[in-house]
Amino acid sequence: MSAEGRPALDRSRPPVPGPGRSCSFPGFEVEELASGARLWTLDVPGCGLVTAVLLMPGGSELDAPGRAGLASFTAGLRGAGTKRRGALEFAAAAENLGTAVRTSCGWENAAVAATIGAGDVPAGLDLVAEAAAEPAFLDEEVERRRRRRLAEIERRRSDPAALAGTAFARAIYGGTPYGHPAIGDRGTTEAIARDDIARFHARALAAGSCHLIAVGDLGAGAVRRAIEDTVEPRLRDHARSFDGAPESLEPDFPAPAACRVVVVDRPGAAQTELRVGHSGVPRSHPDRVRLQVANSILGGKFMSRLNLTLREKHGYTYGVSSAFAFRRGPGPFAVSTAVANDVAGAAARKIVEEVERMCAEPPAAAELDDARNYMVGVFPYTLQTIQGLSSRLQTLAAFGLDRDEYHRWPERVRATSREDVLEVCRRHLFPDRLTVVAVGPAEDLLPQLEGLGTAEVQAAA
Amino acid sequence: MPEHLEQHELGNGLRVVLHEDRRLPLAAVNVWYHVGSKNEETGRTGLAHLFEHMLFQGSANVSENGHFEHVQKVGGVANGSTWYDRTNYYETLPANRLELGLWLESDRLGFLLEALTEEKFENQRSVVMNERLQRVNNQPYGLAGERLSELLYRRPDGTDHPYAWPVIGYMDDLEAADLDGVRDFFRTWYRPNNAVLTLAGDIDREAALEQVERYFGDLPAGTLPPPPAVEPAGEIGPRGASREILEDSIELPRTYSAWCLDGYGSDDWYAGELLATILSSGRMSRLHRDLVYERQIAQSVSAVVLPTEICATFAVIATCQSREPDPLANAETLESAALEHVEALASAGPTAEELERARRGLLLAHHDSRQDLALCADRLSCAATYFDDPSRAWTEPERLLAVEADQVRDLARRALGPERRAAVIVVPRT
Repeated sequence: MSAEGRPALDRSRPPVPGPGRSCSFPGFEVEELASGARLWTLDVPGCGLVTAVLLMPGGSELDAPGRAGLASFTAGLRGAGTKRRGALEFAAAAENLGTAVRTSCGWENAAVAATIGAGDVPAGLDLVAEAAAEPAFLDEEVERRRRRRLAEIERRRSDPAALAGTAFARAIYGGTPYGHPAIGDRGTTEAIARDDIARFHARALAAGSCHLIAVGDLGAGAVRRAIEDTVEPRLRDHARSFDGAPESLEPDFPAPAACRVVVVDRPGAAQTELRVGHSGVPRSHPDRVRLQVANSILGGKFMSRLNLTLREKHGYTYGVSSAFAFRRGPGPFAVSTAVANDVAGAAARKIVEEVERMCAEPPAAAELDDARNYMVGVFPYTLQTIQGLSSRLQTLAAFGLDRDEYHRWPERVRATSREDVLEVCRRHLFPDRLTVVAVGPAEDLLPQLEGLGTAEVQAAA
Repeated sequence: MPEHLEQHELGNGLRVVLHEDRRLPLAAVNVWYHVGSKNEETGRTGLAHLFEHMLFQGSANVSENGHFEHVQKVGGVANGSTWYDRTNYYETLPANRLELGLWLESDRLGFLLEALTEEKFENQRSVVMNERLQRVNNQPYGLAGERLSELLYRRPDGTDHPYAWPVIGYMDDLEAADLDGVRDFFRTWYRPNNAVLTLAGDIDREAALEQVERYFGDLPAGTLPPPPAVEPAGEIGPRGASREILEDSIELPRTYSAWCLDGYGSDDWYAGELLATILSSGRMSRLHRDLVYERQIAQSVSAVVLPTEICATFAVIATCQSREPDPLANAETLESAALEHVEALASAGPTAEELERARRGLLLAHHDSRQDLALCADRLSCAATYFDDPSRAWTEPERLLAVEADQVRDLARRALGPERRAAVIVVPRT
């Protein structure tokens, strides 16, 4: 082949693109079933698979003091033995379809989910509904699960990232719901009784607050028929709405008036885990998209200010990122990284400086352009899989966002101006009230962190 | 070749795989260089991976960090990774920016050296040392996998098989690495005739091929060193018992066992994949059901066969549910219990029901993974690199479904015996 008839290749500058093809979030339908549950369907013809999720109340935000971990304990037992069959029999039924029924628990909701071949939809949905609506909570299974959870709590005592996350949440949220690890602690795990679990589940199984989300090769009405046969009969007797959500998820004490440092001592640790941040904003906040743009500039991509400074300029770390954890209440804003022990103080100071800079001046026009283009450009990338699409619908359902949230999201990103970025940073970032958590050898860390804020040392275990 | 898939070879030996999939306006660019940590030498480990980092530090026409900058500002994602046998580089871009990917990839293949500086090298050495700290030294159980490979792949005469050292390299070797070593590595291995370039997604195949020719056609081929001479898989592994006890900052003791099988693509490898699935995939798998569920002595179990080229590690890993009353005794009990399941499969093979369950699980997982364009492109590059046949990426399930019960049994019997097993036990530091 030759390049005849074309100008010689100029490698000195990037090629000029042709016109792009636009891509928006696909259409989907929502309807209310007789039980009161909402059915969300998004058809992806020809993919041969369906992913089905039953989203229900029962997230970790409901854990009461003294019962930390109850929500996720309960969630994990769904499908571990039902009123129809034992745990192994249930697992075999799913695995014979080549799949597994997965249970999970977030802050707002619990979920039961499976990805199945399009031809196995009735059998797959039957298992999802059975796990969600008919768990048996046999004593034997409760004790089995308790032992595994206690072992997981043990394991986390030596996991630097888990230690950092736990200490950071506790420092910011104290005794309010977001202050506890979703798994709970040894004491609460031992204290949770079988009756606590059964009662918690009975409260959570409120069809009027459930969402069934089916994405994939739905066929003409086949999935709908399967739902009538498998899900609806199990939800009909629970046709009420959930009314037990906590009234407030705000931290119960004011953010510190100054920065503070919490060192979790791990003598001899090879590296230091750092978390820097404070309480953020709820998912429903009108600034959410502008904050995502601001965060992209600060620490939301490889070319972010934090990564360029800490990794590419100073070589302090393999990587650093920042994020607003959008929850029903104000989830944390956090910068996360792992750095060499001898530069932990310098790295923490650079992080504080970068947060300050976001609040001091608007981003350069080109920097903002790059961030907006990045966010809009990678959007289709997240729409490739039925699980990716389903997770977007789950977010809409869980937070009660407008149905066109993702259809409008790209235009909202594009409409974010330099002034908007500065404004939302000034409104929601507090560089003078940051909590710095450092998990590593206190002996090395304390002198380096001196002057950043009042310091407290905790034992790792 | 299936519809929408084709392979070409340029005059300089670059193999080009084109896969059309127009569902979304995305184009994936994926390059595999057939070089990885197995092409390093003892004392200079970690070079292939350190080199991968240098490929993101700019080339003649791309500034330092320009690679990520160009890709991210148009809404693309980019990364790379290093493995024992290959190093890959990839971008997923808006489809109308495909040419940007070709410009970037051809610039660093053709014109990297003029942009390499000591300063960039020092910075990335530091980044990689932090990567090692994060993934290995400060990671619970982080050093166990390394030790296991050393035990399995260190020969009786003290020399190392090329899979003996970790891909990320040893800290001492990273400290000793220099820019000249990086330059030599580049000149030797980064040649079009040692690479596969896959373009997948919303592409016009004819136009794409023309652009590839334009950007890559004039880059010179090189002379490649011969592959490392190695013994057959059956001769790899310790002679007799070889087990080490490591202390680490952990709470739950863990046991590792490893053997060596024929490499990825062989009949034994596929039988190994079925064996691993039957042992540990799903709650009904043998190890999970017995050790986690029934006896409750394990917190987690896994059996894996690594997809490596010249031979493949088959590993069984099990973590104790408790350290009480005696961590080492618990680990030894768990180790024996796990090995009994391997022996049971070696003597009687899997049941028809188990085999069918494993097949269905593998088939669904393969089908599921076909949704991701970047992953598809990577699999096509893989199949073209190892087998000179990209369509093998799509026929993988057929090879797995063809494995019969007696092949699984025979493999366990022949290759997973006690005499070639390397083992590591990790107990809490006292």
